[in-house]
Amino acid sequence: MQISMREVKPMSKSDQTIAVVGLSGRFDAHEVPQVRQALMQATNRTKGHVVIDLGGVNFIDSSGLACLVQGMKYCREHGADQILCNLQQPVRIIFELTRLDRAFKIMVSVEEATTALAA
Amino acid sequence: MLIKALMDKDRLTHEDGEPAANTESTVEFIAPATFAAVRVIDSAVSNLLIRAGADEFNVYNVQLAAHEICTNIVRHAYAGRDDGTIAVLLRISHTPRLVIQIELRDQGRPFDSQSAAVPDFDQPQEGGYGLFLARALLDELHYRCDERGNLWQLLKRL
Repeated sequence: MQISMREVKPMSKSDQTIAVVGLSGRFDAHEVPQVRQALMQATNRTKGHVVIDLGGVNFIDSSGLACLVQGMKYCREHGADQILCNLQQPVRIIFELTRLDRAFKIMVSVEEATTALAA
Repeated sequence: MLIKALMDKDRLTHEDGEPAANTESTVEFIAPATFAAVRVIDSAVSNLLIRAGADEFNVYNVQLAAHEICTNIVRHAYAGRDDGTIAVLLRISHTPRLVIQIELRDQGRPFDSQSAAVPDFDQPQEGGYGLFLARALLDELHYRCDERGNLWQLLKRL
């Protein structure tokens, strides 16, 4: 799995930085340790919100879902928010089956997510 | 090499590439019970389905269902052991409807059905979705424990 991270400083009254974590490839039990570490680092580094771009993820399993739930809780514990975006259709269906589409904030694009967080 | 034995019986398609009617193909192998090796099992499932003409969503869903059971075997049946194996049998048939049967056998701890409650959908959980997903994505999912160990039987009619 490929993991990337960049920081975005939105044009807003808030000077809070947003971390954008990009994931691509298979997101399964084998990959969870490194993704968990990346999400924690993203929250710790920016002390702010995290956008997870799942556009390149072509397979997610229940361990990947659980890792994202952990990431969301970790963000909230640090007073921040986590938004998922760019879900491929087969991946979105798994979120819907588990009804986690109601628990996560899911948006179409990174731009939409960073704009929402900056508002 | 991860796979100890591989046997592929019978051709699945005619020479013109169309799925053959009333044919059956079986693949059997033994893989180490590790998260990395579960990917080999995933690939075997998806390759067999793609060759048989299954569509993208069915390939994804059956692969995920088998993946979840295998992951549970690694995580729970063999919890902490690194010497376990999963014996895999994949059988695909056109009768003429496409049907895939998957058998996964391990010698780990027996499955505890008490630990497999339906997830609480009102509270996002940090686990517990695997078996729920497998059940939701398959037509049949059976488990039994006998003198040869644990046996999971999965079936999907496509």
